[in-house]
Amino acid sequence: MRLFWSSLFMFCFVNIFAQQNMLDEIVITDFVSKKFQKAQVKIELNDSILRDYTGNLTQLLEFKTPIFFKENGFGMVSSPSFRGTTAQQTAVLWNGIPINSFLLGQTDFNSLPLKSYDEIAVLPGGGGVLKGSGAIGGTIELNNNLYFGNKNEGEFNIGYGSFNTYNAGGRWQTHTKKWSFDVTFNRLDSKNNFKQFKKDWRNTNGEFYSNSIGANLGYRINNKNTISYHTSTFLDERHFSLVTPYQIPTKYQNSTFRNLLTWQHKTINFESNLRFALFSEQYNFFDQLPTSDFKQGKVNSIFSKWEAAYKINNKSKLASVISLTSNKGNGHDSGISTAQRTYIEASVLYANQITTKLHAEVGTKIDYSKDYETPFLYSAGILYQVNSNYELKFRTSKNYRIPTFNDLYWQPGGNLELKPEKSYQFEINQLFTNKKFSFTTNFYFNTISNLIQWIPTSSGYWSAQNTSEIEIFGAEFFGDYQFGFNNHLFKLSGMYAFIHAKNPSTDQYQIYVPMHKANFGLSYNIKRFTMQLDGLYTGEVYTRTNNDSSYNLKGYAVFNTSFYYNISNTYKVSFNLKNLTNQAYQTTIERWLPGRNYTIQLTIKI
Amino acid sequence: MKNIFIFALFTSLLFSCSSNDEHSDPALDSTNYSSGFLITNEGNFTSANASISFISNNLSAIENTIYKAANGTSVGDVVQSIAFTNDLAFVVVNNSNVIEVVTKKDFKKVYTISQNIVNPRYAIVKNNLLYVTNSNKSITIYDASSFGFVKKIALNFTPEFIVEANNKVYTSSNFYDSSSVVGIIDINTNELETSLNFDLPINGLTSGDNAIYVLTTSSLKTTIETISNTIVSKTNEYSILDARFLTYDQGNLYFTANLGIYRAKVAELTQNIAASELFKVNDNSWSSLYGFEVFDGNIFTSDAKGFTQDSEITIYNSYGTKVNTFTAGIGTNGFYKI
Repeated sequence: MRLFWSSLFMFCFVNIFAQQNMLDEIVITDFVSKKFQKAQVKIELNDSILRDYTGNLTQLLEFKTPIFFKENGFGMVSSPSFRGTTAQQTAVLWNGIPINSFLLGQTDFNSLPLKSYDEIAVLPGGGGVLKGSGAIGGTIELNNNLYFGNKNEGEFNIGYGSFNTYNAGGRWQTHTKKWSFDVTFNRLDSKNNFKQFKKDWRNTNGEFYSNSIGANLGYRINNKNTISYHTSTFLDERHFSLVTPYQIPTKYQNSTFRNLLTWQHKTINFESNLRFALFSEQYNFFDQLPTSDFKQGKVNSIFSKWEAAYKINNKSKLASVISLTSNKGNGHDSGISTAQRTYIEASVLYANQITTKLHAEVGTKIDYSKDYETPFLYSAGILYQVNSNYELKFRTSKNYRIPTFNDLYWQPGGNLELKPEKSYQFEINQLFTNKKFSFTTNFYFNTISNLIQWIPTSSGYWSAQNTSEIEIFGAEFFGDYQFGFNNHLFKLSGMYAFIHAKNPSTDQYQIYVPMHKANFGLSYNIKRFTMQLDGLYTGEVYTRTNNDSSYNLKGYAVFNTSFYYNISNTYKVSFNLKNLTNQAYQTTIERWLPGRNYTIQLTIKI
Repeated sequence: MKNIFIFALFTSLLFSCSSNDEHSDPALDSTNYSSGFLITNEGNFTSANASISFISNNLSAIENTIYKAANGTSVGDVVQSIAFTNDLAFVVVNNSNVIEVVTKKDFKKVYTISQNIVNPRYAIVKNNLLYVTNSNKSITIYDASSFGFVKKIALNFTPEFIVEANNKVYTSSNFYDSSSVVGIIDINTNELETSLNFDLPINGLTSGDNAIYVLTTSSLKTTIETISNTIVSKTNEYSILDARFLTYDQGNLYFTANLGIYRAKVAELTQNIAASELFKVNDNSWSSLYGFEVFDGNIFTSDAKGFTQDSEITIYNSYGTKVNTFTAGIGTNGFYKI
């Protein structure tokens, strides 16, 4: 098996689709990371990938990146594991603002509407200095861009799939030289009653729906100043699939509101971005359906951030980032009745283009919070452009994850004595490119200590504690290759990730970390027709910390295929078959994912 | 190059098909669980990996996952407790929201009780009726032979433990309930006869020598309340904090606090003699005392090992000398002598 995948990835290479933009594009995300974090690898999934993708965000990242997802079934809670870490050790940012739940410290990837974003960037490895808490395994950025030029168009899509799944969405964009405006909306609704592998009853109480609406408004005051406003609302209700047939049904309602105001200022030597955001997250958990008893948690947050970069001379640049976060949480029939937290973060970064081929950068960060001691963070990196086809990067960093609201304040079990998790990392990356072909290798080493875990105490309740440590080393290989003849265009891509994650004190492997993960994509285009085949292999995972392999979840290979046909410039249809081989697989115990299933999609451009 | 790619793809299809193989459980030899000790392993919440283990009468051997061996499927999601008749075991599966009825002899499933069950906790059989404490402030009663639903008793507290003595059934409020109360049910009428209120939350309930004993506790003190028929006849107060797991064995009451095992002699309760700490279990990190029970002077304890691997059961004698240790299932929470 291993031989097969290593031979496979040698023949397929990652796709980095080039987006051709006629419009002048302004990227809202940290310009500081573009200039002061050049030594960090970035996997970009741009607009054209996101628009055409017919699956959800979890599936996109599963099939395009090294990230492993634990899913409690289709549409259910989906948590990432990036480079052998936990979901709380992956930072998620929306337009530069961290959006991991303040209560849980993680993002549920099935509650992020994929089509609301213009670009998704995946940054493997530590990014604490710029991305803040949780950027240990990596960072996922969900970005909306501003476009200035003349454009006025809409795109609408409707789809139907197996298990009574309906979706409808749309986007309207209006751009002028001064204004950039777009609005998106999406609705997803599923009965989700798929036939479960190895069980004689269908997935029950799995129905869900989600509604999302987002808008981005930008105004270019002059060449130096741009202001923008971004808003995103997400409302969903998910019933949680039963594990056993007579279980009391439960459901979960999420509502998130995010509002962000930015002011970008740019001169030849100075660049600044001021952000002010108001967030609200709320859940209602109905644990005794059909009764209306529920538990509730709610956090309101104010976030402000100022980034500034100054060009000292042609070679060196200096940047600073200061942010202030204030959260206030309260609950109903929950372990938190009310809690409040404020913290300040400050970073300083320096970059130097030593020679035309050699770039070096360093960064440091300090925090202030009264509830926990905060470590001093740093990062340092070198980028060496050996020649036009070969680039070498080296990077080291210290990163952290602060305790969540629940870790600190939940009663009983919350622990105000908790220390933040901390992580030291080293990484070497190589990139080979030419016109048709690119190949990337990443080798990394990562230690994480003070892991925060909830464990049962001898007094009978569970409590958050700093427990063990992990040592992780791994390698990632990405490749892509494009070629064509006559009207035929082929794109091949492939990825293989190896992870060795162990607890050094017990010498046991981490649970739910696949040692091997590989994926490939093959796309073929002729005139109006495109075919895409995607494959994913995830190796077996331990589910027990003593590495009793009889409880392992088996490795699996899953294939999806899509056919697209442009009927006219206005109409486009696609047909997608997922899990072609009807592979029985699960990413958490007793949670089978669906077998072979399909969706059809119609897209109308106006 | 394209050919090799297609070959690789084809190989992968073969792989994906062949990995569907199922491993069947090895058939067990003739089994009989009518005499020995049953162990409940609650499993991880919402993972349906609870299991039942069996330890032989002479405490020399353990047999794990006996329910799965007998029935081919997992017993369910969070096994909380078991109640017994002469021939049957009633396995209370909290988050599966059922009571699985099995024969004691071979643990084969006979019936699944689900009617009016709401996240059941504990159960007891008296006069051929099965009494079940439910999380919706009710006790439900079933015929222990036909398994038909008989009656529901509504309470004004969430019942947890349930025991019987002197033709009465006693149920205590859940530790996290806002009230601290023992409800007393007359088994002739199956109505709530009376209730006794206490100051501190209840963390243990047991019966022995024709009396009922209630463990109430807080981070300040612990009491053992003796109930004779329908009144509190004696209150013993101890300067022990956060006590748990009250049980009766051979004229003694045992309970735990943190990692310590305590004993109070029933005969000495009236003389207000302090409960004595017998010994402490090893502190193996976290959850070192997740399950506790005493039979014939042998003290059964479990270390749940953080619920990320199988629990370790250690059996001690009353001097704290280890009699034997076993590896059971995830989250061992209870021991039953049959």
